[in-house]
Amino acid sequence: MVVALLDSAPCAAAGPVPPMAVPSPDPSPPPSAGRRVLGVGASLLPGALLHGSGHFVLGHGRTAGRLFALEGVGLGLVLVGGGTLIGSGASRYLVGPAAAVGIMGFGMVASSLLADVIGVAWPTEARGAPQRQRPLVELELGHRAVQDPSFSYGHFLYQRLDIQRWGWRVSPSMWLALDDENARMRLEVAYRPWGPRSDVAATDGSFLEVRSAVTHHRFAPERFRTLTTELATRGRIDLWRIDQELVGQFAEAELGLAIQSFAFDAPGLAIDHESLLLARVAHGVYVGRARRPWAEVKVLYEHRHDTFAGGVNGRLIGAPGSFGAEAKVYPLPYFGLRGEFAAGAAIYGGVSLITYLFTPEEDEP
Amino acid sequence: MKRIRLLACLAFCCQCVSTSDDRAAFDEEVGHAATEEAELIIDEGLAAIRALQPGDVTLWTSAPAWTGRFTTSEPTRWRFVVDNALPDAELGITSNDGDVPVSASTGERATQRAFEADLPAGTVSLRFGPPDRDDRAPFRIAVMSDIQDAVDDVQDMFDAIEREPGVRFLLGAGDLAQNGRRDQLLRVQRELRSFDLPYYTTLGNHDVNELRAWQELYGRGSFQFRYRGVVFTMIDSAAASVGPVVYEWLDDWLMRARNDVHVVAMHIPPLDPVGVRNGGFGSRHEAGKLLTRLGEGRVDLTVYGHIHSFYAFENAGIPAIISGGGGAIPERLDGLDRHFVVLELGADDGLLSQRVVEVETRP
Repeated sequence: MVVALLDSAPCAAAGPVPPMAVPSPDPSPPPSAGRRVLGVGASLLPGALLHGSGHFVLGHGRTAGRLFALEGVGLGLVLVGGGTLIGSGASRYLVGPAAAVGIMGFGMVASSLLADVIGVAWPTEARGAPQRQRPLVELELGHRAVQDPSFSYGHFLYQRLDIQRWGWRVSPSMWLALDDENARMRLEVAYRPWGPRSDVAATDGSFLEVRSAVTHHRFAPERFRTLTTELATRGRIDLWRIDQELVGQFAEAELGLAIQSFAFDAPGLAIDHESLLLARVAHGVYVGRARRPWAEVKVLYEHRHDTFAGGVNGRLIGAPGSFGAEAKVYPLPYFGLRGEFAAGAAIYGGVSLITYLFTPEEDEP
Repeated sequence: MKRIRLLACLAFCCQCVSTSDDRAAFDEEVGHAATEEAELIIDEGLAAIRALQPGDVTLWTSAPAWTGRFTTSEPTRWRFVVDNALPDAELGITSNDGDVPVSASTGERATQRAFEADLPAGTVSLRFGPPDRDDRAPFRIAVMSDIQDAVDDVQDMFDAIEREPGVRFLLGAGDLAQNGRRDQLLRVQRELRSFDLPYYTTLGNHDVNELRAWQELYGRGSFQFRYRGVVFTMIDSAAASVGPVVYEWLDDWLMRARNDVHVVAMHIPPLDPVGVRNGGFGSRHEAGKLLTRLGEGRVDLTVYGHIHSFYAFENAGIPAIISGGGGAIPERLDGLDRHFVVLELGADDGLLSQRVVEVETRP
């Protein structure tokens, strides 16, 4: 009953749902299976170096050119960021902006490669569409397994609640160790001026969000706590906006800054304050067209070093962050699953059950 | 050219080489060697046994003083050559019948000491170190890390350190070599032949390319030694992390030094004082864990390298310095050239002073 009420109420608030922005259909006949295989091969070689090669083989020269241009811009940013890092010897005055530029460039290079491979491997007509409206309330409950040689914890209960209204989102979440005294509590508040919201349906899945968060993480056996305050901007662009052949794919980027305090549970130890660069890039796809089952899958690079994965260590000497993947699947009305995996200094992964109290979107026309 | 070398170095960083766990296992092998005729054990692995041949032992010591045991199957005259030694270091040998006469001489260079003794069959105790090893008066040391590709010019640094009055030894926080190849590590040891002070150092991420090379040439990556009442603990953080085994050693070392002036040195700092750079550990959680232990262990000073500049700051309230000015590609805009740091330490007073000494880079 409650679900039914909530299901209908936001629809009224939202007003008429705007038509989904869809690219005009490609009039040319779809490529043969053999040509598609050839395209996938080309997207890998020479596509690993010349992004867009796969689409070029399929006869989509314009798409290929745009992907190649995206790769060029990305490489340019990597060179500017990396060059600044190397040229300045990672100067304390330049390292933050330089790393941010380099990571954004890396994201563009990675996205242009993945967009080419996925674009030629996956027929346009089979691709999915985004959620264009967000649920009013979303509740997540799941398990996360963490393998970290430096800590004894291994299993966590993960809980998250999203409450979204008028473009605002409030998201308390918690990681609670089941086999150790470790707890991470986070409160995130975000505002989304553009993109899918609970009260406004968007034309696609692209969005821009400004978010702020406070995270308290207690390591009881290790006798310290961290308190992190952060501010960041995250955005997503559905790639059909770059080229219609890339429909069903999206790229994300986030940039921000955090201040992290380390407090030690031992007498006489002073609190340390550290800055933390927040940067994250992702590339993903939509599966399904709002009619269930619907899913969203993405691979990502997370630069922050205070997640349970931390940053890659070993010979990569700690500077890079972690790599991971995330998938949301909605097989049933009101219920979904979210899985995630990340690898850095440690590895974690797990699956959650999601329930949401508003149908994100009616079926596409 | 330096930039090209750095890019090559970044590519090298992606290679799969020894892990911190591997290196901890190699550390445990240091200081023990045996042949049919003899067996040598250096307590706590404080010297690398470079050769053990009939009548001859060659060591590279990674600490000013240590003890050990030597067992020989028959009475023989043995020669012990100790490299990287304090110029006034002595070797005492004690058998079941009392002290064994030892003839000492300076070897081919200031930091090489040679000792000869007629040893009885059986086991004798070894006690190596300078006469002032238990003196509690303040003393000076220099700190220098991150030589890497500047090894051609490192003699300037050594000359400048030798000019500093009263410095007893050079303490290092790693990255002596550029790519960690054995020939590069040997090259640094060749350069050290003309340096009049010993260089006691842990390893850095640029020193670990060849399995066991560091341990065979320089000794352990993680170890602890004591000099004039001050305890020095060197930790292998070359992987931007500390291995689980090393944490166990560290707990023991912290406990032992709890009431002493205690200096802990490692290559990569747990937390980079410039946080957005992330020049610290891969996991900030682990950084917090390590700093808590160091703080609870009442460490008096932490010394780091890896970042090619000088920083003085505090972590967990512990005074910290980063001294990465050995010549590797410098951090720009910091107003500092190559440098080392002179520390004055006292067993009863802790850190008495620290001073940065710049050494101009030749054009």
